[in-house]
Amino acid sequence: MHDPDQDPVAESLQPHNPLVNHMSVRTPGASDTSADPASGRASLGWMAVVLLVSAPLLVTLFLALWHTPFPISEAVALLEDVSKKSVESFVIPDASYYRPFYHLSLMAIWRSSSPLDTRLADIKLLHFVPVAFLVLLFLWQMRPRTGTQAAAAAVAMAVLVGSPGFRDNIELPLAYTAVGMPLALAAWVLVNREWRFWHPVAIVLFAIVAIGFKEQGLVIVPVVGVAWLMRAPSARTGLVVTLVALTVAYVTARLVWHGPLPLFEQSMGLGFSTLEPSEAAARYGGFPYWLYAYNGLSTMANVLFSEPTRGLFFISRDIAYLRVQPWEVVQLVSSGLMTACIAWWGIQRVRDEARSGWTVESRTFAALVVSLAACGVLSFDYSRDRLGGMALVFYAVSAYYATCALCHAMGAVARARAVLVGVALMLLAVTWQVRAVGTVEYVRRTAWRNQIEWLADLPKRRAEFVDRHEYRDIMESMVEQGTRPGSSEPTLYPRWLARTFLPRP
Amino acid sequence: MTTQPERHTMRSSRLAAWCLWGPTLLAALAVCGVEGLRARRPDDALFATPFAYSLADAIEHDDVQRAYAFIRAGQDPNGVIAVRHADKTAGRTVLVSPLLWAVDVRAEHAVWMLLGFGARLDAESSRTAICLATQLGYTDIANAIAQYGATPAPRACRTLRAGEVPLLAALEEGAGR
Repeated sequence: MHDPDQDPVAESLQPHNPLVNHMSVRTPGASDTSADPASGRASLGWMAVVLLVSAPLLVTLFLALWHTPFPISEAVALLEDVSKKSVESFVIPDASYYRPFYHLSLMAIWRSSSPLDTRLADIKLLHFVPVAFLVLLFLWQMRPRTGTQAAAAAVAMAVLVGSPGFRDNIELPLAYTAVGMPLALAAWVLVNREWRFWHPVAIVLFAIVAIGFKEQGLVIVPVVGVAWLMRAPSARTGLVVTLVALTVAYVTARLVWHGPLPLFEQSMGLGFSTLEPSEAAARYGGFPYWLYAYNGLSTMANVLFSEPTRGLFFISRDIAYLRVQPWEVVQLVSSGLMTACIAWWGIQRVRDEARSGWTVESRTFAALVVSLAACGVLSFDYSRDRLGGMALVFYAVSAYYATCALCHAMGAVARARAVLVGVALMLLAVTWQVRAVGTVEYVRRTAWRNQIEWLADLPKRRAEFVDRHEYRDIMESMVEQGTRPGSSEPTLYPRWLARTFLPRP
Repeated sequence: MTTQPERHTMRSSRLAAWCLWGPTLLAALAVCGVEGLRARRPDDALFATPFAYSLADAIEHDDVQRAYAFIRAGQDPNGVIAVRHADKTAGRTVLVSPLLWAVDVRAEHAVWMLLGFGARLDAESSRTAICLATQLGYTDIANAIAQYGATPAPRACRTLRAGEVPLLAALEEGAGR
């Protein structure tokens, strides 16, 4: 199959719309770089620049994460589970939450004979290595070749790091989707490359691992499916059939093994208020599908507009009551503008390439649409920011292409409109960088809160779990890591600046 | 040789790139500056809460981490601390247990921390702390001590006289026993 994206000459002969043709960012495709060593060197050089510019933020983020104590609330219970339950209990899909690979990884680390500090560090690595891999792979996927593209890549990096789907997925020790996100991107990179015999094997493996960590990994299946429909080089029919069979087997196994499911598993936001599962069942149990649709749409809207959060329209409420805070303005402007930019770019690319043949750009836009839909479907029961993580990967890649397109469009429009485009670009860069810094502060605040919990919640938990000896033993063994001085603490910025990054604590 | 529209396009493209690079570089430099300062001056007001001179000071500000640092460094959570406050002690310096002081200044986190890290209550001191919290209207703290401290001595809390300072009354009653 011929793919114009792999062949610059063929692509240049295509009767594209001049503006859209100008917008094209010809990025990922292995053959581009290998065919042109000078371009490859330029690409590596610009990647290094982007990495260098993003390094202060990324290094600070990872250091803050590393110095974050495990939370008393989630971590101890998880470790108790892997400490006393059998391997079978995690492998047989008879529970509401099925994350066998995650639990088995945690079990392998926790039951090892290493000292406690080493085991806790390993659990952190289980979380951070995929996140670091995601960041590097993301950069590799963009591979900027010019200064403009490099600038767009730096902004896209801020989009990735500054989004709620990223923030919520770096919460220790819940590494479920943090593993799935780089695997989804890796599958996407491979599926768009020239076919090699090992690509389908690797993609299926990625999907299995991602699904094994959390059902959100299923998002990879429709993403590869849409790549197949749009004739991506490595998306062959056999691969798609295998992935569909894998999905059918997974869903069947979950349904067969599972007893009757509760209508609602966790609390959920509805408008401006929170519903507990029992209340939701009482009010909407007769026909829960509207609420399911609401939850799914909430997750999708959170990726696109950073609102609602957990199904709750916090920002809208504050606007309604004229109590808008600076961070809310930053979130709305950045997400609204970027989503509009992506929609403008994506629709044009799809419209033009429907005639001329698909490239990786139009495929990325389609992958964003289907991954969003898949995240929505998979979060039907309750909405959380982290449930949009898989779609966020494609949102951020799309942000790169769309920002490049906007930069190029600036040169193709009249001066007055070019000024507007310039202002929009500046706003995008400012607001997303603010959000990326906000993520670092979010991590620090989480670390600080975790430590306060260790200091203040201990007596309550000792009393509450007096009969769960395993739980108490694990908790007591972790007191030192939870209370050790030197954990990350929020920067005490002046109030106006602090409120620009995050809500009031 | 480039044409006029080509030059316009190139200029616009460069301008667009700088619209993005400007804030991006500024953010990178700002992060470098803040983190550099954090490494060089970790006690700067930008990174550290105000210095606590004593356990009493940390408790008064409900700075639970600083309060814990004193306990971690070896200060006895069951010992006594000297406190002085214009209202809470009527300007007098008095010796009081850290827990009672935490109750008096409504340092809820510090109360929990002290209960979790070694503060032992007997029936009488538990009752004194609960009575003080109740007199001050801090129901949550009273309930917490009742639930997670020792079982309080079974005597009703006395009513404060007009103008009486709750902490001083609690200390006098404790001394009277």
